[in-house]
Amino acid sequence: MINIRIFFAKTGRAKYISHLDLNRCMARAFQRSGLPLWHTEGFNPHLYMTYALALSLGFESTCESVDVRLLQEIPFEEVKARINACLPRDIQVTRVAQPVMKPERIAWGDYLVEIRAPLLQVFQELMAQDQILVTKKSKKGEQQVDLKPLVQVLDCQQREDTLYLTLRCATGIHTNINPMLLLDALFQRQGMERPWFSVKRVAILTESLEEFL
Amino acid sequence: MVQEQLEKILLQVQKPARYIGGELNSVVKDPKMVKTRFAFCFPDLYEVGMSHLGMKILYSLKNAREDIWCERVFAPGDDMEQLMRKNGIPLYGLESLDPITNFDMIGFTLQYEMCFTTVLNMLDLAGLPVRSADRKGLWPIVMAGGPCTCNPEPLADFIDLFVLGEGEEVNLELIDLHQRAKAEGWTKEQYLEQAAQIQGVYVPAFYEVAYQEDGTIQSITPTHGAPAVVHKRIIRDLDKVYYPESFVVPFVETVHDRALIEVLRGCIRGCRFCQAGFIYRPFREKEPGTLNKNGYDLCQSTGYDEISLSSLSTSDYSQLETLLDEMLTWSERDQVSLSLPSLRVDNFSQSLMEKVQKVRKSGLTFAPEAGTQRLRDVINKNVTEEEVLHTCRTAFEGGYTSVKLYFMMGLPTETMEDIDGIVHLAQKVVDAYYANPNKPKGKGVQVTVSVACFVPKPFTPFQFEPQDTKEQFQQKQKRLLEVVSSKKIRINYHDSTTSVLEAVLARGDRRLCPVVEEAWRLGSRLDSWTEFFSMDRWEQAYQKFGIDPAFYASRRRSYEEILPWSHLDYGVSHAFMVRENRRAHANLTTKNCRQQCSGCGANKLLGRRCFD
Repeated sequence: MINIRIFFAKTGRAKYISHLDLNRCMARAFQRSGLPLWHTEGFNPHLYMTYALALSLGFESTCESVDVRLLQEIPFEEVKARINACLPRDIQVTRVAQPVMKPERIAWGDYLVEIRAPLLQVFQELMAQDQILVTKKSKKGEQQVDLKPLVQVLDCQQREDTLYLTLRCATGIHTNINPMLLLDALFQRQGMERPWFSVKRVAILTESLEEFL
Repeated sequence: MVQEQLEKILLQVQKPARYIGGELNSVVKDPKMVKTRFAFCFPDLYEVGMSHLGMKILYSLKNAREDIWCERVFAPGDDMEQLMRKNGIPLYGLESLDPITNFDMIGFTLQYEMCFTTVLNMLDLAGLPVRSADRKGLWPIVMAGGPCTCNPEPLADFIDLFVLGEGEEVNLELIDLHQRAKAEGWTKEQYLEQAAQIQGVYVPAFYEVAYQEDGTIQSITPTHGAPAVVHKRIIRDLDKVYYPESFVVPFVETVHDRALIEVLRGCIRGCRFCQAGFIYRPFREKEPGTLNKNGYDLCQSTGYDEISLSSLSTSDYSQLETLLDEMLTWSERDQVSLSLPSLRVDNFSQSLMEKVQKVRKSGLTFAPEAGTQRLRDVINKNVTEEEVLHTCRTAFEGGYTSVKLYFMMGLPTETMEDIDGIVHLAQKVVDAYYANPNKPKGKGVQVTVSVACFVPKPFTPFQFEPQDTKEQFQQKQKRLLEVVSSKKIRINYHDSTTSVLEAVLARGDRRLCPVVEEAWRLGSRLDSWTEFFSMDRWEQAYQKFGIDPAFYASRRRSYEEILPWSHLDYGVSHAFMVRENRRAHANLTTKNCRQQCSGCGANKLLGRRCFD
């Protein structure tokens, strides 16, 4: 049995697919590909698949990954080609590799953000605060979180009426900050409804800022 | 394209993946390279429409032609509709995300009467006038097909043309004609005049309906050279008909999210309440080899792990065991389960059950339809109590611990004795479970009894019958609950309000068009969903136009009355309906088509006898 990690991009129209729906879509693609994959052996056998991270509904990404187990050795390029032939246009495998790191090591995620509103100044004011307190809703209830130590701004530009941001947010099983927390704080500060915006995850990193492999 | 506008609203709605397309096997073409853009509209939510086999067939059939781009369109949910209207986003095709307003043809499928207001709402969302007469141009031509076109009169003012019967050939003929009309610069009226000459095409505007003083129809007169009687279309050689090799695979879960193969069309049974059993005649089967290939191809292209063997009565397929044996050679290996949705109690065998549950066990449902033998004879169900019990015993011995039983109430000649009979039969099924010496230890049985309200439909021997009133239905529902004494029996029944409305629309005439339009203007759409339905709006609409719903729902028609659908021909003759209605009132059954031809007339469409 060979553990493999399948890196894939989820872009375009596929950003509206929930994690649950993505999982079903992937399972069907694997089934169609005819690859010999390991199924769990419990009462209700199913295809073994485990994702490093979930991606929020509405976000694009170029760096998602799912682990499966091959029952026999097959060249990784062939695995990639066979799965891609079975996936919808906007979900495509970019790379297949042996897993190097455990998903627990994930600590940061980089996001490209586009906001169709000239909010540069308001954004800079927001980030200049000592604390950025927001309310985070989770299954356990509401919780006050200070975004300041958990979000870094790597880049920030305004061209015409669009604000372009590159954000590094705490990501993973320990602390997970959805960039929407910051964006909603920004829109709230400006007193506006959500304008058109897009968010794309472009990198997943460890604590020491190594790429998640 | 409305993509950027959509992106602003999609994260605010439930299950946005329903509104963006991009699914596996969805067809995207270059609009500049096609001659005809076709919007296939299903007047219900995505989850319902994406489960429908007819849409899958016609979508693939049209897209197989290079010069046609057929796209899917569904009714948006309430949250999405409000945001679309607020942001000025017109109804669009899921493949191109282009508004359908300027498409060449817009085709609706009418699967049930309760979708009528949704049809109007979708036209309006597309930015089109809902009335046919107000849409002047050659495009879009708005057409409709599906079972409700056997009496499409309540939609006569809104739809340009209806397609009667099976659509595989006539859809392409209508598109070819439209391409010619565009090339030669015809008017819409010229197009419709030519279209009306195609067999199976009904252009309602070309028929004048006159009424008598008592409200019944005096005459239906064709104009514009349209035929006096429109005959439905069928595919004579079903085994050779086009069948898709792939289905669009939805991201979100749909009602029926699985591969489907169409085993046969028509039905040999002749249950007198069942519209499908008559309008889809004559009976035709596909070959096992063809079906096996259809199923295999679909699983390969979709990745589905379940195939449903679809038809009105799959256990009537003459080569069912052969087909299952062929399919099991690969389905077991590939972990694909087979499901047979419509089994009959009179030919359900041990070996059939074993084959079906080889991969995965699903629920068992049977439909005795009526509680007493007398009433089952009236409706020509041709199933005995002993057969029901025998089947349940077989199922229990095979390890099943729950059974669903379907019944109807309000059937012609029904008395309270027949209602009591429903519960008595269910109790005997419970007893059969406990009589099984090998029943699983410590497990009880659950018998679910679903009782629907009978709706008399056109083109059935009961088309002449009055429907029970709401009060009668309620009395019978009350009685049902009083008679049940076992906790093992669970009773579900249907709301009679919608059943009465369904009866009005099913046998309605064109005087209902303004009522449908008014109900829609007052806010009706998605009427089959209880959370959207309001009878008040319909009552207001009846009142505004002085319509008495009882005239349509609970009036007995004479055999001589001109019915709103008298100018439409589905193969089954009027004389046959009268004969069968008389036999029903005499408690006489009629043999199934395989045992003896009852001369319904549908074989004329085939040009030969149905069975050798």
